Amino acid sequence: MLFNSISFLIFFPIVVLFYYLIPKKFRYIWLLIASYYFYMSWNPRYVVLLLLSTIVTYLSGLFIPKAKTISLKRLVVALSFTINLCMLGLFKYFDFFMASLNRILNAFHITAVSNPFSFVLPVGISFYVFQALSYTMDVYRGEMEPEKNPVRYALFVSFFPLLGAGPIERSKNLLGQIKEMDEKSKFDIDNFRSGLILMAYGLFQKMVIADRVAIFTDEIFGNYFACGTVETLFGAFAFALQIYCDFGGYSLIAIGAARVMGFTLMENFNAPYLAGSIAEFWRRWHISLSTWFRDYLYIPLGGNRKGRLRKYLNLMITFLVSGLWHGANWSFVIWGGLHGVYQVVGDLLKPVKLKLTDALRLDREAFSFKFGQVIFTFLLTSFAWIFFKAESVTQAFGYIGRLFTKWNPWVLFDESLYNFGLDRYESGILIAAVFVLVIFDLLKAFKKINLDEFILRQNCIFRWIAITALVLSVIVYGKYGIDFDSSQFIYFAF
Amino acid sequence: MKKPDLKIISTLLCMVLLVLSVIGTYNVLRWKDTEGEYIDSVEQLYNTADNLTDVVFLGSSHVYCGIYPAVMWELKGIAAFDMAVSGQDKGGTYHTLVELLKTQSPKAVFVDLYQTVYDNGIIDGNIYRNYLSLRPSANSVKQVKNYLLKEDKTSFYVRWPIIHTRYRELGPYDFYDNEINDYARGAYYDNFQSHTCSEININEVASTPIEDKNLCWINDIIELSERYDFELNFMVVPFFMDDGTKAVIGGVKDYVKACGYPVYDFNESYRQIGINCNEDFCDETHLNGVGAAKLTTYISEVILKDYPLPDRRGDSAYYQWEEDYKLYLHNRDLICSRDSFESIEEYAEYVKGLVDCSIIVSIEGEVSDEAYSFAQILGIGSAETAQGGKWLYRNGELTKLIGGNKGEQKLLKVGDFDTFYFRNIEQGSQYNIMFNKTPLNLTEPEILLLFYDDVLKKITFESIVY
Repeated sequence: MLFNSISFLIFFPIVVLFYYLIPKKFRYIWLLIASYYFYMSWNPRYVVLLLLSTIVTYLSGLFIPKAKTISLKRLVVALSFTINLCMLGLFKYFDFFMASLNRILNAFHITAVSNPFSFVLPVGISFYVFQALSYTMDVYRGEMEPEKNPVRYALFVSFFPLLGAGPIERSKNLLGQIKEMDEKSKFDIDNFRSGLILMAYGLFQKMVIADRVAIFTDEIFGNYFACGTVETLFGAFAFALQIYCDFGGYSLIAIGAARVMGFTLMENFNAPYLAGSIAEFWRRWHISLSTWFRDYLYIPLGGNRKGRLRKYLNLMITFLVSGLWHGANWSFVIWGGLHGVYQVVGDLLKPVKLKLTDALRLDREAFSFKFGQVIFTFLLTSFAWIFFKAESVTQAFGYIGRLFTKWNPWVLFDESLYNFGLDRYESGILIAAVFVLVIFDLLKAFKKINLDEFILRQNCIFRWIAITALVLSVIVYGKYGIDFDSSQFIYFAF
Repeated sequence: MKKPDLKIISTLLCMVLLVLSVIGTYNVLRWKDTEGEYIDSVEQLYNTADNLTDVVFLGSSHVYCGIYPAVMWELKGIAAFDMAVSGQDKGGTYHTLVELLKTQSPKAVFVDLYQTVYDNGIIDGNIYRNYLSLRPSANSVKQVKNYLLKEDKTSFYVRWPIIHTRYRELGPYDFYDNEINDYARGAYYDNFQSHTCSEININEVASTPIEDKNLCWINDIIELSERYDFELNFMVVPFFMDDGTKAVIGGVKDYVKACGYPVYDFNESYRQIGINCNEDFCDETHLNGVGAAKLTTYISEVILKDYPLPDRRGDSAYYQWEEDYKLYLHNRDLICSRDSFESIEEYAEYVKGLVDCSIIVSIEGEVSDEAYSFAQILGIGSAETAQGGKWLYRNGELTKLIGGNKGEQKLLKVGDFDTFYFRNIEQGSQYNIMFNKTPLNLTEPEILLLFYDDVLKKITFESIVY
C-alpha cells in the first residue's frame, strides 16, 4: 500500500492506536506483524525475499563475532553480501543484463539468447537489502553489537515506514531504538504532533507538487521532438522539482510516521537545490544512500587515502554503482557517471577556479557569488536528471539535442507553456505550492529549522491555521483519485 | 495544568478544528448537479418535513420531464414528489426510495421500467448523479456495493477521490443553498419547447424473459413495498422505443403482472392520454411541459380512482407544494407566452406585463422606426432612443442605467449573485454589456432585450427588436 492511499489512511491509525495500547514489551512484535502485513499488501509472495535477507544478515551478525579468524569473519561478510546482492541482482538486474547481452550479440549478428525468467521487481528490495547489509558491516567493524533477538532484528529490516523507499537506516540508529523500546516507547505528544506535521508536509510535497508537475514533465518528455530549447529546459527543471518532491515527500512521510511512534530516523533530504557544488549536493540529497555508499563502498575502496587518481577512480565507481542502484537501465548508469564526472572535474578545476576568482577580484563570500554557485549546481543536476527521466539513453540524447535545436523564448510570453497539461489555474496552484517549499527549504538551510519545529514554535492560533491549511491543501489540491469533470455532466444526455 | 496536558488539549482542539474544516470543505466540494443549475430532488427531499408526501415517482429523465407534481397539486391537491433524475439506474431507484422512506410514508409509489434496459449510466455524469447524491450513510454504501459496476468502488464510498477536484468548477451555490431546493418537488418545469418526433411504437413485440438482475431489482422493490406498506405501481412513461427495448420491458411487465402488481404502460395509451407526437415532445424521448401536463392529468385520475388521497391544498404544512406550483406557473407563463407576436405593440405590451423579471433594454446606434415605437411604449422617449443607453424595466417601472455617452458605466446586481456591468466603450462593442464577466452585447445597432428571471435567477432568453 502506498502512503498516499486510502488503505494506508486506515492502516496507520490502527497500527498507532494498538501500538500505544498494548504493553510496551509486546510493541515490537505488533510492529513486526504490521510491517509484514504492510509489505504483503503489495505482493505476498515476495515476503520470502524479505525473510531471506533478514535471516541471512541476522545469522551473519551472530556468526561474525564467533568467527575465530579475520578470514572467517570476512567469509561470513562475503556470504551475506553475496546472497543478498545476488537476490537483488536476480530480481532487479537480470532482465537488464539479458537485454544488454542480446544487444551486444545483435551487434555481432549472433542470435539472441532467450530470457528464461520474467521477474517482477519486488517493492523496496533495493532499500531493505542495503539496510540489512549495513548491519552485517557494522557488526564486522565492531561498531554494532549483534542483535540476538530475531524478532527485533526482523523489525529493523522490515520496519514499515522505511520499507517502500527508505530512508536506508543504520543499525546503530534504528536497531538501537528498537532495543530500547521496552523502556522508552511511551507516548510523547511532541513526537506525535511533529510526526503528523511531517507526514502532512510530505503528502503536500508528493501530492500537490510532485504529482502535479509530473503532468507537465510527462507531456514535455513525451513530446520532446516537438519542443524547442525553452520547453525542454523547463521540462528538465520541472523534473528536478518533481523528483525532489516525490522522493523527499515520501521520505518525510516515512520519517513522520516513525516519529509518531517515537522513532527518530535519519534526515534524507536537506534542501538539496541550495547546494553550491555537486559534492555539497550529495551531502544534501538522499543522504541515507549517499552515506551508505560512502561508508560501505567508497571508503572500503580506499576513499581519498590512496592518491588523487585512485580517489577519482573510487568516486567514479561509487557513482556508477549508485546510478545502477537507482534503476536497471544504462541511462541511470550514465546519470550516476555524470555526477562522478562532475565531482572529478570540479575537484580538478578547483585550483583554477580559485586563481580565476582571485584574479577577477571576486568575493567568494558574497551572496551573488554563492547564488551563482547554487544556480550553476542546479543547472548541472537538472541536466543529469534528463538521463534519469528518459526511458532510454537514445531518448535522453534526443532530448538533449532538442535543448540546442530551437531557441524559442517567445513561448514564455505566448502562453503555449500552458498547453503541456497544466493550464493557468493549475500552474498557479503549483507556483504557490513551490513558493511554500522554497520558503521552508530556505528556513531549513539558513535557520536550521524544519517545518514541524517552525510550526510548533508558533502560538496556537497560527499553528492550528497552518496545520489546517496544510491538510486541506493536500485533500483539495492533491493529485489522487478520479479527475472530476463537470463537462461529463451532460444533463440532457439521458 | 502541566505543559504536556496543555499540549494534548491543544492537539485535540486542533484535530477538532481540522475535522470541522474538512466537513465544511466537503460540504462545498460534495457533488452537486452543476449542469442542472444546482437543482436537486434529493436535496429537496432532505428539506421536506416528515410524512408529508402522498405519492412518489421514480425513474429517469423520462419521468422528471413527463410527470409534474405541480399539475397534480393544481388539479386535486395531491402531494406528489418526483424523485426521478437523469439516468437514474436500478440502484438509484431502489436506494433513493429507501432514503425517501426514512422520512416519508407515501401511500403510492410509481416506478418507471426504463431502468431495466440498462445497468449503470453510460455517462460518468449520470453515474455521479446516481451514486453521489445521497448523504453518506449505510444506504449510500449499500447502493455502491450492490449496484455500481465500476472497479473503483472505494472512490465512491469515500467520495473525496471523485469530488476533490471540484475546486475547478465552484460557483455561488456551492457555498449557499439554491432557494429552489427549499420547495421544488423534483420535476423539471423549464421545458416547453416542442420537437416533432416519430409516432410512438405500439407494435406488438414478443417479450424476452426477464433477466436475473431485473428480477432481483423488482423483488427488492416489492419487498420494500411490503415492509413499508405502500401501494406499488410500475409504469412506462411515453417515449419512442425500438423493438429491442420493448421486448426487454415487455418481459419485465409480464413478471410484474404475474406478481400481481399493476403496470401502467402509458406508451400503449398515449392516444387516450391525448399526447400529440408533433407538439408534446421536446426531443425524441422526453415529453415537454404540454405533454407532461397531459400525462400528469391522466395519472392523477388513475391515482384517485385507486387511492383515496386527501386534498392537501390549504394545509400550511404543504407550503412547499404551493411554492412549487407557483414555480410551475411562472415557467409556463414565461415560456408559453413567448409565442410569436403579431405586432411590435403586442410584443411591447407583453414585455410590460411580465412580473418577476428584470428586463435589460439596450439601445445602440441608429435603430428602425419600429424600434422607436417599441421604446416609446416602454416609456423611452425618442430623444433618449436616438442618444442610446441602457435601461432596466422591472414590474412596470423603467429605470435608466446609463446614457449613450462614452465613459458612462454602471454595475447592476440581480438575483443573489449575478451582476450586469454596463458601459460605453464604443458603439457595438460586445463588452458594453457584461453578465458575470461574459460579454453579451450585440455588435449590430439594434434594441437588445435581455430577460433575467428573478425566480429562476438566470437569463432565460434574449430578443432583438428591429
